[in-house]
Amino acid sequence: MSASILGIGSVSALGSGVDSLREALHGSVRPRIERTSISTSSGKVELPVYRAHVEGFDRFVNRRAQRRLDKVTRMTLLAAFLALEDSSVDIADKRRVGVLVGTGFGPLTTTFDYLDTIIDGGDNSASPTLFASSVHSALASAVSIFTKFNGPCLTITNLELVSTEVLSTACAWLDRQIVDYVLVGLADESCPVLEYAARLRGAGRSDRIEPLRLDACSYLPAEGAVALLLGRPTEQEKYASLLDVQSIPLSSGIDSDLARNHRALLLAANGEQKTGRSFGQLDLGSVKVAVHSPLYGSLPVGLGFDVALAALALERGELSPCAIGTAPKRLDVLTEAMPLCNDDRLGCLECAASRAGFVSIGRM
Amino acid sequence: MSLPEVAVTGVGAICAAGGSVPQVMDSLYAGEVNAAAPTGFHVELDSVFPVFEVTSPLDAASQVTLDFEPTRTTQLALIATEEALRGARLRHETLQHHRVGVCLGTTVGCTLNDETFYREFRDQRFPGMNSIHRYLANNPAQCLADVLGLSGPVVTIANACSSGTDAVGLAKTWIETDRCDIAIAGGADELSRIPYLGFIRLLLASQQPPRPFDKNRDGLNLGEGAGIVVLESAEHARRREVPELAHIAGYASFADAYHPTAPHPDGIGLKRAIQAALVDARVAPKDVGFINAHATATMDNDRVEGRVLRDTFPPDTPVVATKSYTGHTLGAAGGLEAVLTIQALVDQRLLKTAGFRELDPEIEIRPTEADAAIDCDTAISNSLAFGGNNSVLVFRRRRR
Repeated sequence: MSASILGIGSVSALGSGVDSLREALHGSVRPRIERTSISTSSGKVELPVYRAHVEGFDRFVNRRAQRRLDKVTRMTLLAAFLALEDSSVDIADKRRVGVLVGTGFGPLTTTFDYLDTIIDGGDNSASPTLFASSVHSALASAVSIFTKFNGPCLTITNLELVSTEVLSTACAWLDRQIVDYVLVGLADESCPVLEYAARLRGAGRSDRIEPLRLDACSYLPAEGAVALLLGRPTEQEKYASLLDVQSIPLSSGIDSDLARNHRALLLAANGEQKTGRSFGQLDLGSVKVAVHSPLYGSLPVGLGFDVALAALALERGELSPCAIGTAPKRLDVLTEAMPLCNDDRLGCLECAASRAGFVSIGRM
Repeated sequence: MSLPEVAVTGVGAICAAGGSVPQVMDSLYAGEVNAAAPTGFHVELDSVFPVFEVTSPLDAASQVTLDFEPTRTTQLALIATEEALRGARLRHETLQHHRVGVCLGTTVGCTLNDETFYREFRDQRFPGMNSIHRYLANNPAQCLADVLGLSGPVVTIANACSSGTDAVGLAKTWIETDRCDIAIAGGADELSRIPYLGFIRLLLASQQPPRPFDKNRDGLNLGEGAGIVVLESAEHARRREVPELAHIAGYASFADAYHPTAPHPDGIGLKRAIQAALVDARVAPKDVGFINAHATATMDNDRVEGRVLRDTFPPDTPVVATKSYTGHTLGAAGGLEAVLTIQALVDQRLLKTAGFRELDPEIEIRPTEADAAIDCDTAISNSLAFGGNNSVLVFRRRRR
């Protein structure tokens, strides 16, 4: 199963739009990292957070309509509109477009805002509006409502391999001819509760993400959304295509099979220790690996950003490295820009405790 | 493109009507409505809004050993899954010999809304990580895959009230596209005071047991439970020499793209979903033996759904509303209703609908008022959801 990438949109600490990713990949834009103060039992501590800025939303959604939209919904919507704009595809039949959103945590801020109304005002004061906006599917529904795309509208909410499963589902929809296009959104937000929990899990003891350092947590919470407009493989690809998407048990020992035929792998390691250990155990042979989470931060949908970055690297004909600090010697980490030719493929790999997700990207 | 037929070889269910499929069906055929004030949580409200609570024991029901503290949603999912696996003649140790995927719908089960934890956080009492660890370990599909050691795809779907239907629909696609040999699919959700208060404040909950399609209906009762089906290609089932209960003959989903909580007044998404699911199943409306409607007993849902059914199907097509016995189990509903629809097809027995008294002239749907023997091969199950999602499954009985 495969799909053509027709448009890319993103919202992250790097800014908004596909150019923010292009520029970050080339090293001309750095992420905006805010230091947030967290109260813990041992006093206040600071935690660096990759905070997304939703810029340019007014171009797509009027201010009145924006009022009821929380940040993660705005990020998802903006990324979706930017991907559509980037694609220049003229969609004639909106029933033939599916909306597919993946998120690890869903609308966290609204979930806690809703709980605030109960705690502050009592059970009779639970906010119906916040409740309705707190369901995980609110993001996909908003995309569907604002774009008027009324094909299937689905939300996948895995904490592990969410991007892999969303992209696999999108390819299946296209393959089964359920739709002609899929507007994929992958989004997560940060919030004080998540940042507190991240701190308890060891985040923030380092000021930067060292994604392949396996002896310490260097996870830094992040928020953002990336959207891809996907079409059938027969569509003229604007960037590249998803040639294969699969989830595999790590125990199957097919790591070198994954690496074979790929010029380099982008690993979605993000400083989280449990998954870091899984990356550390991979036997990828001599294939070069790159990690770009220091650009977009640590969040469940990180692989979605890697897919976009891989497509942009293929567009430019060059994969740039990203400084990642310590890494196991067994991994051949990219340290200088790698030229890419038309036939090259890049792999994007995310790991969970027992499974891996793999996306192969190249030209048809 | 020729696609493999998708067979259902096992079903499992737990809800207020019972702790297994036979118990649930016996209770439904007997017309028992177990709605009562919630006992699993406390609320401070002036009025009582009944719920359909699971009363069968959860602790000892599962055969698997867990190395984490399960949520009630996880327990419900496990119990229904084990029943479905037994029905499909799949032992835990044999699951590793197949590519088994798991696709579960939920709403409560994926939400980080632990009120105790959050109150402590707000009050700067610095809660520990137990609650977070518990949340992370209990993502329904993920934890089921971990517990059972599954090697196939793992997806948790949060599509509000159509989650379970969409989970079965996506799992059907997995089998058709050979993503896995066997799929465990359906939905699970526990009762929680958080959505309970939300539905009450949205003025969608009733203080009476639900009255689907009734002129005087005034809302839903929440419920909890799980409904699980085991899917595999018909060819795979024949090779394993397991009986096929039914086929998932069709599935389709369309959005209204209209409003965050209200269905499109003309039901455009539901109409399209029904039409596309019937095309997928290669059946005509006249071939449908009965419809298990979404039928939440809210004014808007039943008006829109009822009109679409009236306009799409012949007037004598029976319409069943099983939420009148299970309550609205949210993310579990589609899975649970899939199981009830399949089992009614297998039993060739039409369920009666509880709560209906007076025809609503606006919609002119009179749901089943008595249970009866039927002779039909095909049934459909509808799910409508917040955000305007509409999903439909078509089931076809396997004649013995």
